[in-house]
Amino acid sequence: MTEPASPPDALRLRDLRKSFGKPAVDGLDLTIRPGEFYALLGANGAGKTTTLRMVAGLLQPDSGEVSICGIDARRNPLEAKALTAWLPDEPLLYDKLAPLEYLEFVAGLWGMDSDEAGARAEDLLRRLGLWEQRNQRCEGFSRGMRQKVALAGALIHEPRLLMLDEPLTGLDAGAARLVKDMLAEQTRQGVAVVLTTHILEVAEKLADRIGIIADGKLIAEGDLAQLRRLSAIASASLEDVFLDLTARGVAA
Amino acid sequence: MRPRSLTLARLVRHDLAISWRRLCGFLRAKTTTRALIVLGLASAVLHLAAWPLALGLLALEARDGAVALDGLGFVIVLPWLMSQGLTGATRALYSRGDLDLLLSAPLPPQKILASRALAVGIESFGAVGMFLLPVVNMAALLGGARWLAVYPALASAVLMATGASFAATLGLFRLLGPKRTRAATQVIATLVGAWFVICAQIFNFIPADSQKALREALAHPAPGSWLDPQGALWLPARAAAAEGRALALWVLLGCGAFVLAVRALGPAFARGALIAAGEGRARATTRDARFRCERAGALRRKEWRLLARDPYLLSQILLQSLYTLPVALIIWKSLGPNGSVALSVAPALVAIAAQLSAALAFLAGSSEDAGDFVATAPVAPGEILRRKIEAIAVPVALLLALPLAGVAFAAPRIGLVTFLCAAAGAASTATLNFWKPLENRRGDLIKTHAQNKLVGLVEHGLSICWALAALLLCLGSWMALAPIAIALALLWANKPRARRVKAFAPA
Repeated sequence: MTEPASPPDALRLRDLRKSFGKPAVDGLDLTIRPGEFYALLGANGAGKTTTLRMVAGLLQPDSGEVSICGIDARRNPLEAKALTAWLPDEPLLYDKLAPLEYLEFVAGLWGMDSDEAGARAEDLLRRLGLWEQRNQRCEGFSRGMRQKVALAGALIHEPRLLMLDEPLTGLDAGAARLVKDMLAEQTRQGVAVVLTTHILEVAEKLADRIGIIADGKLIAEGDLAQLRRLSAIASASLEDVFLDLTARGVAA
Repeated sequence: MRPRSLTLARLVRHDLAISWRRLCGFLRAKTTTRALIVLGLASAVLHLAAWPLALGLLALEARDGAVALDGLGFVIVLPWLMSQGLTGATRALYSRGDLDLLLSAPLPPQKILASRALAVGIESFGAVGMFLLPVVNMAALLGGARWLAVYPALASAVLMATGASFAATLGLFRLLGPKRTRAATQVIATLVGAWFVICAQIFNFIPADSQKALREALAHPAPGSWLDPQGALWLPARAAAAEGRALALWVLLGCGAFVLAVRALGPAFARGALIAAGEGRARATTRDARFRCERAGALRRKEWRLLARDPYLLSQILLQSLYTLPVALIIWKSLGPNGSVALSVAPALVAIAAQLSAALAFLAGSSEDAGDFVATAPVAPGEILRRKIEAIAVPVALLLALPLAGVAFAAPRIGLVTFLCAAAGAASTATLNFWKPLENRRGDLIKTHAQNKLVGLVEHGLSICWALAALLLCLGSWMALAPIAIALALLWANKPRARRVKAFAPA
């Protein structure tokens, strides 16, 4: 009897390159499996956001391979986008739309069924504590509320690959806990989550694997124990490990 | 000890620095030197273009006298200044920027208002002066230094109009509340700005006897009447004509009105700005509706919602209609007794359709706050553009359905030609605006409310081409192919090149 074929990698980047005069992403190789929580860390300007923007289809790579759930995103961008959600650090919302109207628009973009999408929109807004504000325009919302509406927009079409750029910025402790729980739940359902953050404690607690990027290259990768071994600082925190590895520019 | 607050001069300098950066952004100049070069070149071109105008003005001055000429000038310039002032005052009241910082600082409200009003005044002076002063300079060069009196006369008019604009805006704010004032001032600014065009058209269409009587009264005004150049109404004209006492009095009046407005309105401005800030947080709500996300409908509905909630919608529609309707009257008149109403209305309807569509597309494009997010969706950019154009087409069609039906009823062939050209015109100007969106975010746009001037020019070119094509097709002339070809060439020249859409496309 043959073994059932394992599902394709949620995200597979090979020799990915992008240059804006000088290299921003420089031959990046990255593999993220379905259901994995992956934290991509790096100093400002290391190439994290450029990488995510290329995966989201907002930037054309100079060269390299981008594969999402087995789909070549450069050859079949629409098929790849159908499986992907991207949540940037600055929530991209329409001030003049209410959360429910925004979700209706997003569900339309991803071609969802109205009944199914309506139910999911209600569930998401209730869980995020926004149901009472569902018909209020986003223009008066706080940063945290806007972040939650954007998260609902990213989750409504049930993506297989969820990319989040600093998702916890502006959230209070309760909301941050809620979002972390929701992300963990996504991974249990087989969704791959890629997160960039400067709050290293979040990466330390949530991530299955952590990648450290510097000058557009992946310089270290692994779980916290593996990174500690690379840094050679015994019982160090992720912050110590991160600062040590980025200072030394270790190659994984 | 209470700390000393910033001086007014420092505040004005701060405001002007912000205005200058906005101007540099508008000119797409990355450095001050580059901005100065662009402005210098533009000024040289405007001075060259002003040369024949100045010669014409000197001839008119010799025939009618300086006061009458300057009087006519003020009839045009004062409403223009009021329109600029109303827009600037609304912007000062609603745009946040550093206003929150100033309001929270230990500054008297009069000082804050004075700095904001002076910045608005200087911007108005620049906007009007850019076109007017090259003509004045040329006239001074050719006809004598007395023309330079226009400078202080204009500056005084700017101060007076700015003070009056702030008073009117704050009055409306008190009367209508923060929600409606922004739309109301936009509409009033549009009407005030367009009033000269409207009056000129009214004058063209009043009976010949009345026209003659009005001309006679203007040429030989009865002493003491409102047309008498020695009357108070003519003070600004006499000031601009370099009558020493009139100029001194006019400058005194301008400065006095400005200072009075600032002193009286300071607290009302500070209160209004705080209320306007709260308005953004007062959450407008909609009612529960059925969740419908069929793709085409969802994309169109989103555009309609954003358009319907845009504070500039009404003023944009009015602006396009007001400036285009007189075209119909001019064509009707120029066709003489044989001209049909349907034929004269056709090109105007086409131009209105094109301009209205452009205005709606501009608003829709500028309210696209989440363009990057939309680009991550599994939808081809072509489909998104198509749905946006469909969304624009519906309100344009609704507004023009009745006049188009009227034309078709009077002359079916002309009706069909008008419909086709209007549809082509509307589609082409909307496409142009979606192809050339503003790079600014929505917040910045509300501050500047400036369309890309080059896009504006092409847009007018397209409207004129399709209107001309409609007229020529109605007259049965094959020459209609020429404007159609020009319109298509204009559109093709503005088509986005591959670089912009590359990120969407397969490699």
